[in-house]
Amino acid sequence: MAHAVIFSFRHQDRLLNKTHPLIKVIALLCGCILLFRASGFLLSSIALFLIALTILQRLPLRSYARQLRFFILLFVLIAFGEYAHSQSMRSALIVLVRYALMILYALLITDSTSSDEIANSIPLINKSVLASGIELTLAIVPMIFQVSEEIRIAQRARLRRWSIRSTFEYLSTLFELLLLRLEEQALALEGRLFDAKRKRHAPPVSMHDVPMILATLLFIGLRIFGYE
Amino acid sequence: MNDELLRVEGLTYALGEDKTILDHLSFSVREGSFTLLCGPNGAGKSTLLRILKGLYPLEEGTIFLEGKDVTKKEKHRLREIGLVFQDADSQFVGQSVEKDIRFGVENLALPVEEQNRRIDEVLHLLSMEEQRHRNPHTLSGGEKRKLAIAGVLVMQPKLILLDEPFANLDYQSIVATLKLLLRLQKNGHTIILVSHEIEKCLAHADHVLVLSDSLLVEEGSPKKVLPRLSGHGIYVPHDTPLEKLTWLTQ
Ligand SMILES: Nc1ncnc2c1ncn2[C@@H]1O[C@H](COP(=O)(O)OP(=O)(O)O)[C@@H](O)[C@H]1O
Ligand SMILES: [Mg+2]
Repeated sequence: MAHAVIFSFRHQDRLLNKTHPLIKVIALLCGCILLFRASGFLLSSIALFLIALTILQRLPLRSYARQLRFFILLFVLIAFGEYAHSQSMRSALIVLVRYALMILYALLITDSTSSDEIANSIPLINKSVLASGIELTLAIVPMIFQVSEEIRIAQRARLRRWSIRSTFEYLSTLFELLLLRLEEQALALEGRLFDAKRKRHAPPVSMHDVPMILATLLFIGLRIFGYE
Repeated sequence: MNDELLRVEGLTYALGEDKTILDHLSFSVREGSFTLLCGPNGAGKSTLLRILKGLYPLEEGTIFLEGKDVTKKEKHRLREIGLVFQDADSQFVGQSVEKDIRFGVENLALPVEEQNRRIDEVLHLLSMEEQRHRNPHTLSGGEKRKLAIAGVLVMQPKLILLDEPFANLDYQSIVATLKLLLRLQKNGHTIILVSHEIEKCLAHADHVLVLSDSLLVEEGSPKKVLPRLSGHGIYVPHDTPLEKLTWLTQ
């Protein structure tokens, strides 16, 4: 597969990869909560922070472009709804940026963290079956995008044009293929003695976590002191 | 070398009342041998491997591993028998080569040092050290196959089953995979390989099983079975002696 798959992990020797997975997850949660109401100053600072991280992390956004189209369509619809509601270009734009930043947050975290790292590092949960649930769920997300991309390419190769019918065909093929893949994957997991309660080792906290913690605290501070 | 590792007696598998997929198969596999299982598409080869491995429930028949009856011990078979799936993609779990190989040994609950030792050993054996941190889904077809084999090898199974390992590979990758398998056999591994492309590897087989329409129609040495293969719908190159039926040229 020559194209990069969105929300998949890439091993790199960069700051974000070395940051503790739990801190990244907390930062993501805080970030999304803050973004829900952010506008103006807070929104721009989060945007700047994420753009800096995107550059640092060398996120291959361009090769994700096609798979991001789904989100872009969604954002445009949401922004359009906001515009229809408030009749203000500015608030439509703000809504658009908010959602785009949330996705960017998620992209950065999944690009730098493998699903087992996340599962390993959440305290309390990492000793239970739930960790394996989280791990497998996160591992399946790139698979959904990969399968849908394969179907899209195959249908295009056979000159399928867009129509309501072709969309339904696309969706039913997608679900069928996904189920088959999942079934194969389940067998493969069993074949490799999948143990949902296997021992996990949480990584230690380190200096590499400082930038993420500081940035998140800063954003929370901005919010508390009213710089929305 | 002469010890029997696996023996199957009267193995039967059916889907519903009228669809028999495997019909009373009986055969045995010697320790350290290379068995080629061939037959046309839909003969039931993949199903047989999955049953041996313990992934599909056995309806009728007995499976012996090292002389012990393991028919009811699916857990034991899962542990002692390794299966390399035909579709390598669906086998991957980890998000890097190293993580994927580690998955199996983590499930075996080995100490971390032993895990690391085995992973290094397998990466070295398969010359995959440079791909250690790659995402499995970004590997080439040949590398994916190697990783799928690595993920199985690291668990040190007594018997390795491979489902059409040459499918979708180019000439170079097929030769590399074949070389790897012969090296594994030399190291003492027992191998059952499913393939209908006998021209690629028959010369190396110690034993051949032919499955057709859910029946085991031929069994024996390559020499004995070769003249009868084309009668079962398997392509045999015209006028080629047995020792030329390989893609290895040395
Ligand atoms: N899920 C299924 N439902 C119904 N029939 C199946 C299923 N899976 C396999 N079969 C049938 O089982 C037979 C053996 O399949 P398989 O073991 O994959 O053959 P081979 O690997 O030799 O090509 C085929 O006739 C196939 O149609
Ligand atoms: Mg098959």
